[in-house]
Amino acid sequence: MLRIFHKDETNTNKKILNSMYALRARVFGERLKWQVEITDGYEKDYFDEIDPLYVVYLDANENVIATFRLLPTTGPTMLRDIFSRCLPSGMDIKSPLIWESTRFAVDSEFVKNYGDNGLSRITGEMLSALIQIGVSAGLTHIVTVIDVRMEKILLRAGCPVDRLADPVDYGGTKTLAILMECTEEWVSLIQQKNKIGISCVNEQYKTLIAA
Amino acid sequence: MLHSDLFSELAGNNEGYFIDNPNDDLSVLKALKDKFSLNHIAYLGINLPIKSDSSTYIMTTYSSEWVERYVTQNYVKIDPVINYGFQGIMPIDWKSLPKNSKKVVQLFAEAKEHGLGNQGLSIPIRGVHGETAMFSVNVDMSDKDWLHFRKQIIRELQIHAYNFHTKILENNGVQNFKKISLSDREKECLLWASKGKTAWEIASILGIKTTTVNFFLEHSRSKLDVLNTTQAVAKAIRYALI
Repeated sequence: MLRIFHKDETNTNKKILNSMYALRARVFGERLKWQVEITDGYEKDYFDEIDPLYVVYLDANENVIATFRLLPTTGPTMLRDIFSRCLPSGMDIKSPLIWESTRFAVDSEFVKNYGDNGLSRITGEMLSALIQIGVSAGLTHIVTVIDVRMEKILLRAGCPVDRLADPVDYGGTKTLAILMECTEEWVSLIQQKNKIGISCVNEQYKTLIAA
Repeated sequence: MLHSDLFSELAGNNEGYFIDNPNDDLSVLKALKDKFSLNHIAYLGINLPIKSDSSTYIMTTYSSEWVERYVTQNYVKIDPVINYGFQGIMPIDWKSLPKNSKKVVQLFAEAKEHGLGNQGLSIPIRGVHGETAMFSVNVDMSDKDWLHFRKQIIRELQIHAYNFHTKILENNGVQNFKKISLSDREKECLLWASKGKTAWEIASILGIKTTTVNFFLEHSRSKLDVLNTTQAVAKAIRYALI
């Protein structure tokens, strides 16, 4: 089940947040060997402190098996503050109509069923949700910094991928910034290509905006 | 910012509200109100990087009676828009807010009496200085019409909300970015390019030569100081030029 939330004072989502930090530590630290900071099995960074919007996929026991987070590019972004070499020099992405998606992770251990395109249904649902959130918020694009491995996944999933520049090296990883256009057409295309229903996503938006 | 900080900031500081009404900024809100045929618009900024007596900055088309009522009744403490908006980034439809307490129901009833619409949308804003703000609009409309209207205006509102925020900062001496202007033809070409059209296709659509389209695209690329059209589109969107 998909869940969209942001941190709140009452800590209602604490268990889910911790499960998400743990998943990120396994995927980015152990599996992909990215240079991320891991404390007590949790991967957290500055951008978790500035109230991003989280999207997670939960299993029946409310363990997080897939995740990403979103922040408006009008505020601090990873692209500007960490991965600025991914942009042509002098360029900055800062628009009320572009949000940045970061820390996209899917737990390969839990995902056993793969579709025709070699991707899991959960990956498809997460990507469809990503673009759909953009449409709901009136955005034109999602910007995201990814590695070439992820770019292939996005293309296979039928996502709109528009390179801002050629990949550059960050700690041995070929890294690039891309724009993803947010339209209803792209949402249905991703849903068709990954054979996912529309209903599973829509329900979640009611808590944020009755989309 | 945590809710409790915000609440103490707003609630504990009734005297210290910084309600700024220089005609210039207010006329922008009034013009937007008329443009979209809205009942009212309200802007609320928190921790703006400007010199003021309070970290709360309010600018609104609401009647002064309603603003005073809201402040003296400490409605900021129970207002679900404040409650949900300042930590989130998704626009909030007032319809989707929980109105489960008597006080909240009363707040919305009183707001209506003071001329606010039955439908509302609040757009959270985040700035590079770590500041947050909220741009809210409201209008009288049936649920059915509202759904359509909201979908129609949300993108434009996102731009207006952010531009208004930027303007407040600029008027208070905070530099944001330099002005770039594009010609109408350059804008048209970039707009079609942003929809994935090739120069040849754009030429057919606009009824001009492909070489002319390429010229306009090249020209806008140089104005925007970028290397390719994708970057030009991204930058033009970022500066809300198209």
